[in-house]
Amino acid sequence: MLKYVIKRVLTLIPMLLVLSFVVFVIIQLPPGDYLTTYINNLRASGTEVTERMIAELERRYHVGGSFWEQYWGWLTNILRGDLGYSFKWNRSVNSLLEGRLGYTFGLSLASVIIIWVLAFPMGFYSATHRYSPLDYSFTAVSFFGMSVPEFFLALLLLFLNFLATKSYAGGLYSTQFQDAPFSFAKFVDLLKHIWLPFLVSAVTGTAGVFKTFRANLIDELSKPYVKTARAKGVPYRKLLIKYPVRIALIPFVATVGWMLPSLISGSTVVGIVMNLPTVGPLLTNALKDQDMYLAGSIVLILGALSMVGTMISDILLACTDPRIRQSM
Amino acid sequence: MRKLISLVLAVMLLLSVAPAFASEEVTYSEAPMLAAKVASGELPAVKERLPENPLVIEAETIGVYGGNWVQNLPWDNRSAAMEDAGDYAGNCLLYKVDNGGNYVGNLASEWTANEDYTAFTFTLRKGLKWSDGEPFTTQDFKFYLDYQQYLDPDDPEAKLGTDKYATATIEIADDYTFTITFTERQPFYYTEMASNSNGRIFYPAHYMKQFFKGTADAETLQANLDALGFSDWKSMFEDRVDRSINPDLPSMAPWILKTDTSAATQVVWERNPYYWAVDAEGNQLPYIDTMTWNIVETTDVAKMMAIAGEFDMGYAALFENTSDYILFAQYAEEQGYTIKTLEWDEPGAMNIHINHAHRNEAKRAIMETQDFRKAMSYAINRDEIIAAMLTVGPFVSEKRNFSPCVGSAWYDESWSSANTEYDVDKANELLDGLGLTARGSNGYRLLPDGSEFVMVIEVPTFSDDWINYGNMLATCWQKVGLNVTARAIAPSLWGELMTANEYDITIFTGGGGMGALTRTTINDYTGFAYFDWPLRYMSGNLIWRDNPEAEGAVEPDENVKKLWELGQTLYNTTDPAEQEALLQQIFQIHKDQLYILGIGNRLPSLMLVKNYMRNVPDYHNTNERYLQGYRTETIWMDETAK
Repeated sequence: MLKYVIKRVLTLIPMLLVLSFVVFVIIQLPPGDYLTTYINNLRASGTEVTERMIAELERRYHVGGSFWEQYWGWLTNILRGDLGYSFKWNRSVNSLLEGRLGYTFGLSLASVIIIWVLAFPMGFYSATHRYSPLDYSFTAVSFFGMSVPEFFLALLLLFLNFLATKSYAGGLYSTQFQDAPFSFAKFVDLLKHIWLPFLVSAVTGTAGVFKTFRANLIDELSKPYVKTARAKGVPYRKLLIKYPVRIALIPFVATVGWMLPSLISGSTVVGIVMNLPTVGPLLTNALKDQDMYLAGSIVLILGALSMVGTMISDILLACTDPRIRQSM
Repeated sequence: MRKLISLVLAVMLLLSVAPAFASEEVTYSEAPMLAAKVASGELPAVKERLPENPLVIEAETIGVYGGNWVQNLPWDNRSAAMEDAGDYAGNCLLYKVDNGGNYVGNLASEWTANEDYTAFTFTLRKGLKWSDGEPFTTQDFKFYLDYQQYLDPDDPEAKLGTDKYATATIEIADDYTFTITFTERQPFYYTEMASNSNGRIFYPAHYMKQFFKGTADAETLQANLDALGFSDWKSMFEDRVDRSINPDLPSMAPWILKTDTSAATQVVWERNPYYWAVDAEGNQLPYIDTMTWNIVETTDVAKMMAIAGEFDMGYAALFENTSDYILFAQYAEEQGYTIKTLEWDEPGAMNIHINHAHRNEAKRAIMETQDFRKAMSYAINRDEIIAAMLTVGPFVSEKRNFSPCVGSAWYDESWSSANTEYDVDKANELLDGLGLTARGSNGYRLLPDGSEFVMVIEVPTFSDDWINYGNMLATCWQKVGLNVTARAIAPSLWGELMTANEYDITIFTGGGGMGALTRTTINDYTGFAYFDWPLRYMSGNLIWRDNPEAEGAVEPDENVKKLWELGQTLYNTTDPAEQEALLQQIFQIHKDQLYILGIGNRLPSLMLVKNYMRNVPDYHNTNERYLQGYRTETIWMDETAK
């Protein structure tokens, strides 16, 4: 077991290096750079961009140097903890992420908890009380949740909220509470805004988890060992929790690692639609503007987290499932 | 007794005329929030904070102090919001009153130029102070020039300044008067000194010297670099001198940045206690206490917040897409705002540039002819395109070519409407006359030498709907037998294709100022003649101009050469009569050749203003707003109307 863990950790390092190279190549692939995008945008909006301005901008953003020079510079800076400089925001990438990571992580974690808190009991009830009216309604809602895209639901809810209250429920706070110190009134304002993204993720996110859990559990319940245990007189409730549920939970334990990157990026599209200060919209705009360091650093972080997450999942799986441990 | 009476009378006479000799005691008032600080000893009294002779700004009404002006904007769209926060007021020596060459002293109280416009003398208002209370003197101008001309011993290649200021010299007469001398004539220097972008030729020396390699010692510089996370002192300097990023930067604008804008979702500006202008009754401006910007991800979010009424005044640049007019109009009454429209000072909404200097000789022989452009113009069904793309509610575009717009002193009806009728027969006739009679197997015309004649319209996706123009145009031209398709490409790729002369046709907006609505600087109109950015149709010629041997260079014909010559002469002429004559010659060439085709005029820009905002300047076109200068200090919020 230990050997397995060590092996996984060691292979992670060269993989991360390869990842950094691939990310950098892809970011640099489109022609031009942030500067040309910026200049072209200025021109499209009718602003005159003179030679003098271009020279000054070039100097300020100093885009230049060969591909390898830029790559090496970027990589060494990252290893030192300096994620680079965002041309668009005129800020270091570190400070940009610092401000948003808190919100993103908080929102994503809260979403995950809501989803799990809702989906598992629902799945449990559905599997054990098949064909009951509640089972049918849960399944129906989950179909809806799986088929409606997140952003559409978000837009719809924003619009309905607007029609009902004539106010804008996007963002996290209203204007007056944005930078105010924390108080009960601010908390109430937050609730008025945050119910929307939570509702969206509850409806769309719960569906998948619910259906998978329900299906797994139903599978387990029809296995012979359940029948044996029941025949032997084990109380049903205790039996359920101890065996089939644990086994049905294995896929979720196995994929918990993949949640790591999504916890950091948040839901991008919902973030854009609802103007949440999360990392997802930051990344999207950085890619559109070819803001090299910002985009590259975030993608690298997410990729690295995916790799680390997968490794954690594999290890967790090995820990929880004795069958896998046996086969190692 | 009589002596006593005459003495008393004499004294009484003296006393009665004495007040006439005593100086007028001017009283100024200030905002309550500043008065509180004066009372607590934090700030000196308002009379000491104001210069000796503050600028008096007359406005429609005298305002009431107070209020928080809320705007919603994406971070990289903040330039228009910066103007609202007083860029014009705080950056310029002069302020334009109108377009007839009349200025009012902003930071300067006197200004003169020598005969040939190479030396300018400015006298600053006495007693001006930066927002931290330090005096504003000629040293701040000298510091700016020192920075521009600095030669970094560690990086001799770096060119910090522009050519103009790199060779200029400054002579300091005293704390308030200086003379700046240039090596070349600067006929438009006053306009530059009244412009937001070019007017700031001063930096707060007392604050910025710690970031400048020329004045800071190595230790301080390094300490600052480490503290702020920069590796290059020039980037750090530029960062620290940016009024929208650095809240510690002293400024002369009516509002100063209060929050650190790194990754902030809200940016707050607060009134500058040392602001140097008053209203007609001696109240220190501005009226509004604070400005709040909600930083949003996209303009769509800003629009949603607008119809929810969560803003005070949304400036033109943000809502420049007229198509939102219907949405805004729907909620205007409910949410209590009015929609102001500003005409664009642009020669056309979407302009068509047919490559006049194509690399391919066979194609060029056809595409550079006037008849070809005429044919292409006749083949465009402008009514259809306008109905689809340039009609919003009450606003409908009029058919026109790329030319000065209606309302301009140079508007020419015949130029504007030349060849704009939809006449497929005429188009076909002209194309046949060019030798494009043979048709290929796919039914499209072939070049005279028998080869395929394929053209692609490169459409940069600055906005998602531009490709619709491209597609509609392609369809029109296909109908007259030309093999044309439209292609949507990323703006950065488009820029590269343009500069390398690798395109057939392109469409592009832009041309700000070239609608010639207002006589600002003739500079704007030299775009018709000399500068490259609107001249997308002659990229090949422009490459040739820099280097005749370069890849893609195409020697210009004598019309283009004449245009360049006229443009250069115009740029250096100051006599208005001569300028007019030259401009007419330039326009005549364009009228004859019709290089750039147009579809229609651009629909107006929108500005949303809540009904309780007072003294909002009334601009009729975007040029008035952007180039004449934008005074927002006198705007106030009427609490009783909320």
